[in-house]
Amino acid sequence: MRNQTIKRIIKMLKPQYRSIIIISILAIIINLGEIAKPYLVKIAIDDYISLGVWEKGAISIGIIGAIYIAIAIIGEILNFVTTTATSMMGENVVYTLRNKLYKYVQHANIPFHDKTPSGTLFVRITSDVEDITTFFKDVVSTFVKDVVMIVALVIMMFTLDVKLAGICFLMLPALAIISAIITKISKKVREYSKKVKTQLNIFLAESIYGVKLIKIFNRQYEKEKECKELSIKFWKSRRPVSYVEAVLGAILFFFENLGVSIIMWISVNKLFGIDLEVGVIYIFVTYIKQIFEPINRIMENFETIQEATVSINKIYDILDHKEYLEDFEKGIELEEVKGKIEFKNVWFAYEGENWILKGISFVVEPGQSIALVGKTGSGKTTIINLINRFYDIQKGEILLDGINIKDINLRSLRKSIGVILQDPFIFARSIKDNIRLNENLSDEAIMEAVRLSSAEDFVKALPHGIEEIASERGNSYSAGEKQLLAFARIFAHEPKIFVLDEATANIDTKTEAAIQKSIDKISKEKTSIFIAHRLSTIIGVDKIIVLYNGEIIEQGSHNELVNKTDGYYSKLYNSYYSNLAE
Amino acid sequence: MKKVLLDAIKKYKIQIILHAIFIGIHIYILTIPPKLIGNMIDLLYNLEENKQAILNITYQLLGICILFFVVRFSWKSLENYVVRGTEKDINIKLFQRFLKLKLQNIQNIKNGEIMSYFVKDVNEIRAAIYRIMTYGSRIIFTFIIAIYQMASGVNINLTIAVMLPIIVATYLVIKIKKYVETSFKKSQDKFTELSEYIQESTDSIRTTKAYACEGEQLKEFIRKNRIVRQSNNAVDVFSNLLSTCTKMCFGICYSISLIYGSKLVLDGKITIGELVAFNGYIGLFVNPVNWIPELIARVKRMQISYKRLDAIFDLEVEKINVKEHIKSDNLNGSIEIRNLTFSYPGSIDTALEDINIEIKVGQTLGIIGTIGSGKTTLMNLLTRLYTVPYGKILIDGKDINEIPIEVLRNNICYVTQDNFLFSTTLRDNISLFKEEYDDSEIKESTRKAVIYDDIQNMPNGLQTVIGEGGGDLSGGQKQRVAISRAFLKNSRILIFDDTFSALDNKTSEKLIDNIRELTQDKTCIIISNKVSDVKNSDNIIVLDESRIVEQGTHEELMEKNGIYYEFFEQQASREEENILA
Repeated sequence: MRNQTIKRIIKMLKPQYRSIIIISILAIIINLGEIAKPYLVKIAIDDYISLGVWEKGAISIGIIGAIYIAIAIIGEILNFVTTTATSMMGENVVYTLRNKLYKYVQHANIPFHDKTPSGTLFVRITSDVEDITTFFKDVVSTFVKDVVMIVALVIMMFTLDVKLAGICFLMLPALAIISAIITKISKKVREYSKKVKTQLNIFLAESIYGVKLIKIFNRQYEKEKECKELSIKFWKSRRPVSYVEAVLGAILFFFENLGVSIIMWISVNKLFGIDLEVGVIYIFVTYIKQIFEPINRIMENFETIQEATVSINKIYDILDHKEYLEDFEKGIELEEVKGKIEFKNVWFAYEGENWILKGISFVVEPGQSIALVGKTGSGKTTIINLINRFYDIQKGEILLDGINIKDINLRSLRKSIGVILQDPFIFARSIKDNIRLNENLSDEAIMEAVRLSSAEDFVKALPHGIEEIASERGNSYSAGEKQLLAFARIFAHEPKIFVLDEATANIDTKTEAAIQKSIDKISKEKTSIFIAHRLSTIIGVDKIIVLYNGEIIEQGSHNELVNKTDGYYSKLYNSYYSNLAE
Repeated sequence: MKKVLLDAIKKYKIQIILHAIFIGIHIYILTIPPKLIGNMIDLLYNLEENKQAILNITYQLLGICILFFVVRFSWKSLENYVVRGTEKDINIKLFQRFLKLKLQNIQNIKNGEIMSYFVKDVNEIRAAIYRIMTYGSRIIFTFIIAIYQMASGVNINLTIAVMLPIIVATYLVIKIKKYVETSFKKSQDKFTELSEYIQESTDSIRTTKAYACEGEQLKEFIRKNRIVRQSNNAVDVFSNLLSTCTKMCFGICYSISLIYGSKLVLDGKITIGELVAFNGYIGLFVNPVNWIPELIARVKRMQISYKRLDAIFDLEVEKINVKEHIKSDNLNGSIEIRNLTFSYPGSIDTALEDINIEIKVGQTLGIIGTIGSGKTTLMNLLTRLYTVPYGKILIDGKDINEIPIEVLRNNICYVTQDNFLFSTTLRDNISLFKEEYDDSEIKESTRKAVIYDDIQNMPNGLQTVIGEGGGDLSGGQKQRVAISRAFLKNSRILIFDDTFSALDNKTSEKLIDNIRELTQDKTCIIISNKVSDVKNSDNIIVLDESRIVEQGTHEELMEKNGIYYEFFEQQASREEENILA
């Protein structure tokens, strides 16, 4: 374990130190009770039964029995308290950790999300955190108790008889080595079996997916054969696993009995001058059996510890990188946004000197609309990602109403800009919540937004209207319908600036008309920026900006640009019409 | 399903019986050490006389370890043989069944759901069989053998006194286990909910940021996370309660044996050694008592899985002969469809309405239409993936239902629109696991499908494994691999269902030329959204909302100035508009 990992574990546990101390003390008490139980039996055997008396002085076997019951009941109650407290502590730790991680993910900037696949984040927050839960429940909750138990048993045995205890412990290294070997073999055979199982599962998953293909090419025979082969292979791969399990159980049984036999040999032959009372022999036999359980558990837990440390490191490798976090606290709060946008000699690269935008300058006056035109990779999408500060620029400045956007509070900046992406994200919540997006809006306001966005027909056709729960990622809706919902979001939130990445996907004519209506309505009153694919949109804007390789090569209105001889835009436009005429 | 299980029991009956016998011996062996230890303790009181006897007992003790090893090994192997063997049998039978199911019955079940039948339900049944076989017999034998040893070997009254708390423990454990199960189920559901929320959050991060609602997202997450913590805590409380109760009951057992047993010793009814042995016997009950509720819970879960699998086995299957070599009568290939109307089972909307088509051998039919107009449904009927009504589809003048399915499909090559490839070599993906084709045939088919050069450029050529280094194919390449199958199979009827969508114009033109050459004397159907793919067909039908709305050659349809013409216009303009993008 790296030093750093230990520090990280300590950091996680620090807030819980009180519980840990209490739990440890309770663990000691419980274990003392556990150890006392066979000792009570020893007393009963040596001091009473062997002598043939029921009571000696004030104490009778009945009282010893009563003490035994008391220890059993109180011990178990305490045990219940500690185990429950430990697992709750574990739950608390992972609860906090999960919240921290989620918060980090939410507050991390877009570059972080670009380089970290969402699947990885998902695994971090779910299964990696789960590994830590297992670590707490299986290891932390038992570890203290087990260690205390082993130590206490060792002390007890040595106090009862040093020599015999010493001889008994000579057995332990042998046991440790053998079970380490078996565990290793067991891991290997299990891994192999798991691999075969994965093979079988991949085969099944593919066959399920490709069932139509199998049917129309009459390949049932071949696939059945493969299924049989893989199933039998898996069946066979389980064989060594069961052998190992059998051997492990048998070896534990052997060691227990070997321990008993050794004690007997020594006491019978009075080797090393050992001469014991019957009760002591009984107690030794019992303790030998008792000590195996915690030892086994600690050995089993090594794997859990390893898995947990890996997960802990993975999680903190994310959490420790504070530089990706966005600051939502500082910056100027925008009071009333007019909507003037200005790019002043903006240079931007996603990495290094690989400039995507090279000295871009343009102005959009409040209420004006512009269209960004250019080939894929010319920098259109990058420009809209810069306006709401998904990325920070390297050179130049971007101004909103004359204020550098770096000085504006992030939340306030983003709330003033409404972006619709090509494939808008629809949450698996109600249509209402999808439009509202956690903002407090009344049903009437939402219905109004639906109406304004011309999504009314679509929403009303849903069985539950705005209460309808969308399927995962809105999969049951078409691209056009998702865009309509995104427009409703804009109408509901009323940002001053509107950004649209027009869809290239096929949208049916009816939806397209509805979308066009919304676009017209919005661009009339808001500052609008379009990444345009349709000629109708382009012709309608106040200003067209033509991008080529990260530079603005032309800007102006449609009429200005189209009449420019040899202009890039006029060439595009003319080739379009000549194609139509063909 | 019942038959599958009964078959398994019949098949493994000898192993099952042997397993039970070995378990019995195993339990019996477990009762020997306490007895021997007890004997030794008694002998210790007269050490000098009994020295040799005690030593002999230790040899016995070690001797039974060897016996124990043999017995444990035997039943473990038998258990694995039977349990995993049954799992294997169910798996194979289920898979065979699945391959024969009618496509229309499984189409609405998600792939993940079908997968869970194999992974989850079969596993559930396996786990239950395992527990019934091993835990069940161990519980029964422990109660029989250990009680017998206690009562006959030590003292019957003491046995009764001790059994009371054990029975109470069993009862409590069964009761509490129910709460553990329900709370566990709940906590799993809550965790799934949280997982789904996380998945959505990580996927939607850009939208969340654009609307600056991170704070609200976080609040909701904390709420959900808190519920998860709560429900996990509930599980912990119940399962801790469970172990506390059993341990407490056993603690009481031991104290009874201490007090009452001591008295019996003092009264001379039993010896100290017997008392010690008796304590050892009590210990044998600890595991079985915990296994009982586990067994009950498993059997319950198995019932659910059993019912789910049973439902699959009850679904209608295709009448098809599954053989390695299908003796195939060659069809000629003329197709006639008469007044065909079709709707999906359970749906009132018709998927196809009043379809009339005739294709002669050597002709090519083009089908064009929007998504959901019924194109693929029609092809699924032609290949009898769906149940076809009688007298509606005729091949070579014979009703399609009269032709054995395997013969029909051997004579049709249907290249589907989803270009799914198995994660195996390209060669296997083209030959589809048939070994009868040689390399030159396969290469020739790839050449015809205009994928030959692409494959040559891959590091391992035809042996390239899909998905592994260099095996990432583009959509267009996948489509052409799928089309290679048609050139290889060389059947009488060929169907291409929207298989050119990801190809550039040049490639698709070349490909369509090759297809035309291949299908000169064959029957061919080309389905597409693109006018350019179908315009050279002998006959074109336009499908719209389940009906044939237009029919004729390209020129005839253009003159009609109808939907086909509209398609043509739209596509021409869309192609050009994209220049601006």
